[in-house]
Amino acid sequence: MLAFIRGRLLSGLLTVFGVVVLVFFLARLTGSPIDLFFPEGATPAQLDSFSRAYGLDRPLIEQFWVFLSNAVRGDFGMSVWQQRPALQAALSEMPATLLLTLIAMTVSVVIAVILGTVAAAFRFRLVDRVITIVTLITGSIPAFWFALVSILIFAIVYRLVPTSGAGNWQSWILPVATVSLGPIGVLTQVTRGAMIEVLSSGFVRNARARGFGSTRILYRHALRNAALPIIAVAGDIAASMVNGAVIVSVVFAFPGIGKAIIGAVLARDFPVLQACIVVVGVAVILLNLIIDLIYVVVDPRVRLS
Amino acid sequence: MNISAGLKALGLAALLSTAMVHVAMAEPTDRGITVALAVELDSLDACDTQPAQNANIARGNIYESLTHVSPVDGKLEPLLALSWEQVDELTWEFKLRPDVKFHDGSPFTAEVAAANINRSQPGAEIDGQEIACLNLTQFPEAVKAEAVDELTLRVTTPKVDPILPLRLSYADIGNLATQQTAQKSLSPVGTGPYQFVERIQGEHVKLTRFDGYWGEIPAVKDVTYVYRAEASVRAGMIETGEAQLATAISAQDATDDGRTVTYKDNRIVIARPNSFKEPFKDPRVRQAVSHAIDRDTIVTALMGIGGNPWYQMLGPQVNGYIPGFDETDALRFDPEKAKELLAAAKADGAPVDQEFVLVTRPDLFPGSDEVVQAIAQNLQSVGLNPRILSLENTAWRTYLRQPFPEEQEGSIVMLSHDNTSGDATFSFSGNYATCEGRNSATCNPEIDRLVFAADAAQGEERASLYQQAARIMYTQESTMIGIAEQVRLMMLGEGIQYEPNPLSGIEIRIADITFSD
Amino acid sequence: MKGDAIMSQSVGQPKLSWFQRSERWQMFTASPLVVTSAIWLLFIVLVALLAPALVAERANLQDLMSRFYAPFQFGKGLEFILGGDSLGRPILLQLAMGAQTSMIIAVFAVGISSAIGYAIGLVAGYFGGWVDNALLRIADILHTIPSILLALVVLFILQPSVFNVIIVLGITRIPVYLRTARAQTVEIKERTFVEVARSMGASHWRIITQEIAPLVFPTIRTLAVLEIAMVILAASSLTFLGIGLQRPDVDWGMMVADGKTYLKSAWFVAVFPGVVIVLTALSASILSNWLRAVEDPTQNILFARKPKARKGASQ
Repeated sequence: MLAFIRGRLLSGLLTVFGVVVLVFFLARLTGSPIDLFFPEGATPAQLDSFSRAYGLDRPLIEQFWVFLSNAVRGDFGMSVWQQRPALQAALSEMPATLLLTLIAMTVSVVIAVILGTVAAAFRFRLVDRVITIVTLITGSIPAFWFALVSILIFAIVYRLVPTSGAGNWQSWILPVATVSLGPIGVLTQVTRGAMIEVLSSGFVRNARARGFGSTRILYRHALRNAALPIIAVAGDIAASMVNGAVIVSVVFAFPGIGKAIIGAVLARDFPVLQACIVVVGVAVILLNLIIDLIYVVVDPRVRLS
Repeated sequence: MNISAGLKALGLAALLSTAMVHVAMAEPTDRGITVALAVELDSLDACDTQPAQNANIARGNIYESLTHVSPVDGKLEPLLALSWEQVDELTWEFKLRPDVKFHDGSPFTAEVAAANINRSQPGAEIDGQEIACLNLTQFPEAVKAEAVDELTLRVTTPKVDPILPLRLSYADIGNLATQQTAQKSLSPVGTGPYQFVERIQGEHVKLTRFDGYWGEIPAVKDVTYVYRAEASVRAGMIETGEAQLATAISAQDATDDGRTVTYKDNRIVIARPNSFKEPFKDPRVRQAVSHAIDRDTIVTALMGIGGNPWYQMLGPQVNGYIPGFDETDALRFDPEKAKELLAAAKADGAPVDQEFVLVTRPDLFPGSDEVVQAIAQNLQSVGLNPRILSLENTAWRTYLRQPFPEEQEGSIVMLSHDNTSGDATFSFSGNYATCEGRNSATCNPEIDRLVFAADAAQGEERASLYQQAARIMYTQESTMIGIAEQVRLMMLGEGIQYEPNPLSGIEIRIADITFSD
Repeated sequence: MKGDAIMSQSVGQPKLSWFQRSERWQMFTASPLVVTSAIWLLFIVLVALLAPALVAERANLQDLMSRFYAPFQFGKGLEFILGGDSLGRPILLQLAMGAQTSMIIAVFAVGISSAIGYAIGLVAGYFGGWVDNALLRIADILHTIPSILLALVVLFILQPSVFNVIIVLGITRIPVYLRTARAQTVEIKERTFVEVARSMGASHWRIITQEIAPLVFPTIRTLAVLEIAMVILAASSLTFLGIGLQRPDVDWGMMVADGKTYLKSAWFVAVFPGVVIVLTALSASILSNWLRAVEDPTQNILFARKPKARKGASQ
């Protein structure tokens, strides 16, 4: 068990290292931050002065070495624009991201499990068809379009929720809805498929034959067995949510690491970009590890390999 | 043309009433407001107030400068300096305002002012560490400031600089403690009417009224700044009451209930053909470009109240602006003339149908993508061969700036240029007009001669020399092709009174806001 | 196609789904939803093929007099039935031009990522060991890099174009196929016939291409069909964020982005392209769901992440 966790953490860290190396050089292919915030009339001497101050005039390899040797000690350098350590800039975005992911995943999993179970129970009947079609539709709506249209309808026309930001709980409604839309569709399909598979498998039929009530079978046995694929897919979705949610931050001005990454890319704030990538990478590794452990808890037959 | 004439009148009215608001006494209240801005600020340090997103919050609210450009008449007026004089060619002396306190209670003295100015200079170092302020762009060559006595400041320039007092209007003054470190300040301390409360990055900045302010105490107590990238969201926040002031509103979101207010900040949309590359080496091709663009139709239809057709690169408040140019020798819309010029150039061997790129940025101005597409269609219809290239800022600058790489294709760069200083030197010398200019895509010795002569001149003569250079640039050379004067829009919430002025793009003085209910 | 027939026959769970009781065509026609989806996709593909030749000129002709011309009116002819956009171009014809871009991006991005992912997955799964480890790690890295960064880098260096959007999406979707192909290969290579081939002295190349690849192929094909919907959505998100395309090229995401500022005054500019994206992605999902069910009802590729775990759980 411990060996397994250690192995996963090690290989995860290796991935994060690879990503950071790649990001370090990729990002620098897109030009320097000094060009961005100086007015068009700035003289080369003025630009040079700025690039010296941030060590951007040194050879790339040297910059990389400086970055690596500091990063090992947890120092990701100062943000070019924010006047605070890059790591702090990245970490301060995580609470919003994690909370949004947690809420959105809870909402989508609860809705999807209910819908998927109902669909499986009434398989091939009208209810099933309707649920399947509706969830396919929600999975086909582009998040950015849903976000725009929902702001217009719910915030501006009917004024039920704020247009943007993350101030009060109402302002979370539209972002949560936007990021949950796709996952609800996918997870409902997964739940339905898994439930059908479990229900048609031998042991449920045995249970039925032995006279267990159908509701009890559904909830006690089937759902428990169907949980693994749901957890697997939900875990993947959660990981990509931690990494992404760019649309939500762009349209709703919602805080989070996705916004920090896109902001750092556009502003060429390399230290913040690197710190964000590391923070996200570590979060995803931990998330995957947690999912693997949940596997064991849900179904002890699963072997950790 | 009626619309734009009306708007000009409106702009004038706005200026007049601004003056009146200044006179009217604001009653201090306990009320707070929320301001929705388009872009989050980067830095609140006194020496980083050059970019608009920083200036919007810091200038005139947290910080004040020694001198200030009047939004009413564009003239330089005293702020933290009461008066100034040129002692000799390279030396200036400023008498400072007494009894001014910083938010932390420390006094404003010549020593603090000198520290601020020196810290903003290119190459400035503290404890051996280079600082690199964004405001250093206002000083092409480092000046040196020192305190003569408590309230007298002496500044020496490396060469003759008649507009030093104007340059100092860009040097905001923070307290001494923040000036003695190379670190940028995170909790800014200035002398302005509002003091810093908190900044949560990515979310908001909060300010509150400073009761020890040397001037008049403003009406608004607390201010919260939030950032919303979408113009329609900013407008929506006014409608829903989430914000009381929203900047950079798009023309299509404008309301006609008096809550959408306009101002001009001498910002001009310009097309700049690169005369060093084909097909624009022949001046007739560049002139044809200007004749091909139907500014009246494009600007009226696509920019709405957000723009007026324009033929120069400067706004009317800048001394290089040529009065009456539109009616006299501007290269106005005339597709037949454009075709004739192209035919003549072609006959002389110019590759007029060679493909070139029409380079723009998505964030150039609201609706710029559409304007550029319309311009492309105009150019195509006279026989030119543009390809639109919409680039992100950094890549866009590779087309804007000298040196132009050998392999770079011919281009027209779309840009939006502002000059809030009122002096053409910030636009022309070393920038868009002269041979060595950073963003110049032309080289005409006559223009250089006129601009350099103007730089050393003063008053009427200075203006006249700049205008002569500008005329060559717009007609004979046709390298800076004016398209539209931008009109900026703001939206105000119920019960909020604010008259924007030409400086509202860079400083939104909360002290100018009053409540009408 | 023979393989498919065998596969659908070989499935021996009669009660599992309704479409197995009939022949393929009957299965197809029996579901109006599937037929409608297929017709819609066929229509989009046809439009994509024909639009550039027939309407390119009229689609891109700006006429500021038709700016925001209201939809569902016949005053300006059929081409303005869905209204005019912000530059007075007919939205209907713009959608047709966008269909071409969106389809090209979807088909080629899926093609590139599936081909590369398939090939690498086979190699990784077959050889195992450090090759496998290294390739999987690369897939993880690709998976973790924000696609928006990759997009900005590629487009900064190569300039925006349809081709470069394809490259970006193609690269970012490789890991999906790689993992699936690898997982299947690992399982298949343990089977007897592979052992037999190996003992008869077949080369690695031969075993991979002749013995394993054909068995992995159906999964990759189904996955690719499923991914088409994904890529249509992903491409439109990129162009919505203003990354990728350059006028006069247009796709549906870009049309939504162009219309978003006018949502209040001219809703149709952003709403129609959004509806077309939904319809197309939906049709692709319905078809791929159906295909998957027809080809192999027991296999649900959404479980591809943990094939071993699933097995343990359901038996």
